[in-house]
Amino acid sequence: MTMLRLRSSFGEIVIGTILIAIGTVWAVGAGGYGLLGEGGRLAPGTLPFACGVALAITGVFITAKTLFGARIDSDPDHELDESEAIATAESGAEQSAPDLGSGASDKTPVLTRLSTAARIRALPAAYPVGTVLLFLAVGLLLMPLLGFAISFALVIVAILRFVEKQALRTALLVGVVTSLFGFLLFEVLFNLPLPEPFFL
Amino acid sequence: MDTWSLILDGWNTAITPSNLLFCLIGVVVGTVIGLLPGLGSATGVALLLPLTLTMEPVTALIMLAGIYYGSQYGATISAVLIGTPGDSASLVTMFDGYPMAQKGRAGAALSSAAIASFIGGTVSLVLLMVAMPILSSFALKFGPPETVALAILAMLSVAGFAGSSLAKAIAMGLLGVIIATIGIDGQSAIPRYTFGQVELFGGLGLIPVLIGLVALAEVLRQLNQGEKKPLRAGWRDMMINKEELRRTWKPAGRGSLIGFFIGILPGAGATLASFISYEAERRSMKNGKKLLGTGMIEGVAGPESANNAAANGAFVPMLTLGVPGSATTAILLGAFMVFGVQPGPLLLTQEPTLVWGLILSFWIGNVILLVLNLPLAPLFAAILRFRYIFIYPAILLLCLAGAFSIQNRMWSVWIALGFAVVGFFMQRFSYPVAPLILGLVLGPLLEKGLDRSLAIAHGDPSIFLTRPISLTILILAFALFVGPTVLRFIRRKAKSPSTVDAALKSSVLEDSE
Amino acid sequence: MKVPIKKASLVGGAALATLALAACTTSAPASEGPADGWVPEGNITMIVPFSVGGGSDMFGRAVAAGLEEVRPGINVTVENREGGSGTIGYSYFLEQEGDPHFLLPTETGLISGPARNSELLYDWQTFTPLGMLVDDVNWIVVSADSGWENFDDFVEDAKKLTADGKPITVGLPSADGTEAVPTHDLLEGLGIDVEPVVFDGGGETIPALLSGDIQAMVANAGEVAGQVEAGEFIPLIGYGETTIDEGAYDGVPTTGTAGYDVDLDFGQFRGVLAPPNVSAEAQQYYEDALKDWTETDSFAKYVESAGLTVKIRWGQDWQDYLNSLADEFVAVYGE
Repeated sequence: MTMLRLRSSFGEIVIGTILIAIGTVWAVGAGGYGLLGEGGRLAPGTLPFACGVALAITGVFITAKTLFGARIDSDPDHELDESEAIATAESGAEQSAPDLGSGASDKTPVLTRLSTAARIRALPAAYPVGTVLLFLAVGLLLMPLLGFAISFALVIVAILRFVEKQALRTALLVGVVTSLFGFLLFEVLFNLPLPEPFFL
Repeated sequence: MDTWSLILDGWNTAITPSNLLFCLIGVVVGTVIGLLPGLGSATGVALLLPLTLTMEPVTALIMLAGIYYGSQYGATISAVLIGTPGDSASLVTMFDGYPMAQKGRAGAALSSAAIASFIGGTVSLVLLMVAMPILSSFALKFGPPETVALAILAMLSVAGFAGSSLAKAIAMGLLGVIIATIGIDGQSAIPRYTFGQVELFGGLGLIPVLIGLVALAEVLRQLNQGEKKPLRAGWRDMMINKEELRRTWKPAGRGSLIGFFIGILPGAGATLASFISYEAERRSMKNGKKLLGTGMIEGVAGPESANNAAANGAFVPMLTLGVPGSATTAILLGAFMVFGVQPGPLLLTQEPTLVWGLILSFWIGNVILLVLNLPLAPLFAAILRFRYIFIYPAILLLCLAGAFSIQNRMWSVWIALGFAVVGFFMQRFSYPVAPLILGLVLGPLLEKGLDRSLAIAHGDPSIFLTRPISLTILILAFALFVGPTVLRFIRRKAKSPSTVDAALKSSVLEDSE
Repeated sequence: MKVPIKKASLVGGAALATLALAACTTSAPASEGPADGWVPEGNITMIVPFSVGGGSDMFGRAVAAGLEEVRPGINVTVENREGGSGTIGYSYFLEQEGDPHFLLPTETGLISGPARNSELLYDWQTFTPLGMLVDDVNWIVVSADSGWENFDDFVEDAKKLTADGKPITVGLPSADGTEAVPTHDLLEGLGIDVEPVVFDGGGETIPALLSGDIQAMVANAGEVAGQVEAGEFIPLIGYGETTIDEGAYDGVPTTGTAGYDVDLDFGQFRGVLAPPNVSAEAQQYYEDALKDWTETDSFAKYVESAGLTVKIRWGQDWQDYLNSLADEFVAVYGE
């Protein structure tokens, strides 16, 4: 629990700092657009300046509260809030530790016991979020080359095979069916724009 | 009585079997379009307008009405079932609809939404028919200062989404406004925060951000949580029960009125209406502050009826002034011209049958939507019986393709992906999403309104207090949000801790302590 | 979906009307293109840099339908790539260099956009000009309740108000110089203080003028057709050389006929562009097709319903015109 708390407050501080940075950039940038308009009117920089300053102050407040506050917000027993209301899949379920990027403490020991090759193979399932994002990004980059249908099907096959550990046959089936569904819906039925080319 | 015979005329022409068939087709096609994130009623109507050109005007309008309402409902279906709101108006329905679906009450949420939509549609159309001339002068009294006041009122409602930390909610609201300033500024035509990137001239776009922040981030969150069991609900569980039905009426009634009056105001829109209706439910419900957002049917019925009523309210400026009140009405105005009708202040006197025919066909659209979707709602809900690994590839497809098709460029897809990461971390660290979206929607409205108001008043800010409607809204905002906080602060100083707790429960604003 | 409503939504149907017309006249007699010249292969894409329903969109769709009408067998689809006051669409169009299967309905933003934003990778000389077809004249319009019946009435009162320290509030449909610059130039030149109020298109400006929040607005004829017809709005003066002697505009002066020397006193020109470096044969093909279209009934109908003025310029003639506009913009923006 203390470990989680430490990592949480580290994340809180990082996010707080990002907010301060964004606020500062906006406030400083607003200077170039004019802060006050003529004759009591608005200048293009007025609102961004005000919001930038306010965001930076809020960021300082959040960071300071994490650093010096008695209680941090990611305590598991805190009140239900919106983002978690959305997340009430299993209400009361604690948000578990592993997330993308940061060394998931409870998984690492398992990984270190394995051989290098096995460890690499185990990575996608251990870091599902990072892996899926990576696959999606690669898929988007491949689209101009392979077309929407094939690259998207590949992404799905890769995700189901490596992250979800499904049989190759299942992965292929879902990938092809989903792509075909997209083709029927966007190209055939409504003729909506999709990344070109659709097929090769 | 002349009016009544005209209305009857409109009714008789509208209700032929072939017209009803086309309306049905419109509803089905519209629902499918609405299901796709990023594609709303405006796209649906624009897409199918050419198909209707060869039809009789009434038939065409009926079909367009079907598409219009169908696509709004379609957006609700995807928001409730798979947490993928197609537009910012259906986002609010998602706040409680999606948790309901996760608890196995998807069928009830969808049925309640259909009923609430129908109530919203019916109430607003009746108001439209009875009071159109009065309403048009009301719409005119609603200028830039009133828009600012309303935006401030809605902005303050972010407090309701604060949860554990008011500071985080405020930060997200500000971040939303800040993101909205990227791109060429409409008031000065200069590019802001584009860092020399031409791609940024058009801004990040509301829909790609919404798709990433809400829909894709939800997929990531589910992945992180690991596989869970699909729902094993029986057919009976998929239906709405009596208790839920009872809890639908009142929120739908409130939502209808809120939605209609906000919808009348040119440019104010359905998003604003649904957020304000949600806030109204939060205040009407016992313990609404705690319960809303956990899957309460009131949180579905209210915003859903507001959303639909606002869409109809947008017809007031269109029919009485000839100016579009929303993107969809802008396209429908185009349809008018195709049928040789010049929209404008003379429309009602020159083309009464057409106007009444239009309004009635909209009502028929609402009826068909209800008749079609009440039995279908449990069927849609059955999607959730599939394992998530078979559902989310389709969600990914809809998100990516939807993000692309808005502006026809890969750039929007990358934005969606980038904001998926942002949204994931926001959830992880309890930063609420709703204020960010609210800021994104209201920021430009607020800035434009401020600039215009100050221009009209030659730089005198007292304009917000000297115009009656603006003043009323500001007083309301103060009474609802600022007042209780100040009052509580004073009380806390005076009273013992136990009474402070009681005061906390009854008041709306709770800070992070 | 929240689509920002650009200007001139009111005349949205005009283009669609032409579309309908084109759909009905599939057997229309069409002059064939040059026997040995370039002909399009497959689909032609019309990139509209503004949203559905705006003036550019209507023009683009009208041209698309018109081309299909005079060259049966070709297929022109319209794609809206809106955002950033048109810059997103133009930038995408730039990427289609050398491909004559892309077209873009252009307007004054082609000149004013690059003149204001040096980051843009294009200017008006980058693209291949095919032809200019119409002019969308802007008018200063007031409410009938104001008591101002003509421009002289307005100027007289406005001067008095200025003397009392009250500038005239004028609603503009965009922050683009095309409307703001001539308005300032004309009125300030007459000793009237102007307080510009910027809106998003005519649809938002009309209620403000009706309610009296603003005292005048700048709009093109299509945007305020309904109000002018109902006698609620009165056009006072147009920005341009010649008058339109039709309906409510009969006898209304323009800056040209009234003898004012005003910067940028032209409306929106509307023409068609091809991407950079397109072959001369393809250019000729489209020019001929556009010429044929301007002689059809559907063109006449579009022009009339949208309240436009026919101003046809081809080749060098159009280049010279664009050049002179660009010079004026540069003179105004001082670079």
